[in-house]
Amino acid sequence: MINGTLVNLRAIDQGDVDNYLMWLNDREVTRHLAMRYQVSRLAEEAYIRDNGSRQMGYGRGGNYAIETKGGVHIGSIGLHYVIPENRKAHLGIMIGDKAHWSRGYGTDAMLTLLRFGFDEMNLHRIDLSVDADNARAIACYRKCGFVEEGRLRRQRYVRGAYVDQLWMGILREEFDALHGHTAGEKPR
Amino acid sequence: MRNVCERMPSFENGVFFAIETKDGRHIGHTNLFNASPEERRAELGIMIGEQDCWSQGYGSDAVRTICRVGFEDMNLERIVLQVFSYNPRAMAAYGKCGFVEEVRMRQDMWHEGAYHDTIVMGLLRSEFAVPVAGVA
Repeated sequence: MINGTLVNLRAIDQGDVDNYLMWLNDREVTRHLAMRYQVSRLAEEAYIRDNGSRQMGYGRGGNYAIETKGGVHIGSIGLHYVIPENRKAHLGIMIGDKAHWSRGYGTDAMLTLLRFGFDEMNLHRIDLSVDADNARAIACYRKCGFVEEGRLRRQRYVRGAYVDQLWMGILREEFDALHGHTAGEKPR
Repeated sequence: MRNVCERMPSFENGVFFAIETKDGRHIGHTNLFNASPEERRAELGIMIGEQDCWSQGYGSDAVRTICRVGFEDMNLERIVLQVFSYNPRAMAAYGKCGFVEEVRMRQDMWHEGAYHDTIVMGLLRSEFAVPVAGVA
């Protein structure tokens, strides 16, 4: 369990299938995700079995379940495409439980995973892409310290129209300057 | 190499070409890959392996030609590519073909003892001018 302030991050397991089925088949949730087709129970079970049966590690990055401190599973977050020579990773997040949108859980999950990526995986840089019309997410990423690095024109086709995507990145020194070190952690 | 060439070229598998000069000399390759049918987008890759053919317009001509394949044959809306900040010659060639710098990923690439930026350049179908030269 990786502890944040509002949330904990933990491995995803078979018992999480029902939640992912509900979220990934909800078009309001997937509006800004790289998900557009309906997911069957069989496919979701197979996905979690295949991905969950291997130990998470550096190259695989990994997806974590986001839980509130009260133990409610509200979404997932992960680091992908980790490249050891460049010490970089790409971040993806979903808060599937809409009752927990806009209440700081996503931001806390981001800060928790960024801390893990920099302090445990020894990454140099973490980046993400976000639909240019997803203002709530962009505000969250800015709050975490992500810097807008450019705009991919007509990168995504969603609900009948092309939309731009922003590319945002954060360097380890930027993260440390903004957020310092968590209490109890030894400075490097 | 086998992996790439053994698959039948298609939208899903991508297309992969050897680049030859008009007198039949093989100087490099270029390809379109990671094509997304919903977004009608693909990524472009190119290498001019023969160093004496650098900076002579072969790369630009190959890029324009494969972009025609992308837009006219594959019906793409957009082609993207990545280039590193220590390769200004390539960036200039892509710019000449109409590619626009869209993203600069800071310190994204470790190369010869230092971090460098990775630049994403994009070309929209509406921006692609069919070249007069380069058409067989």
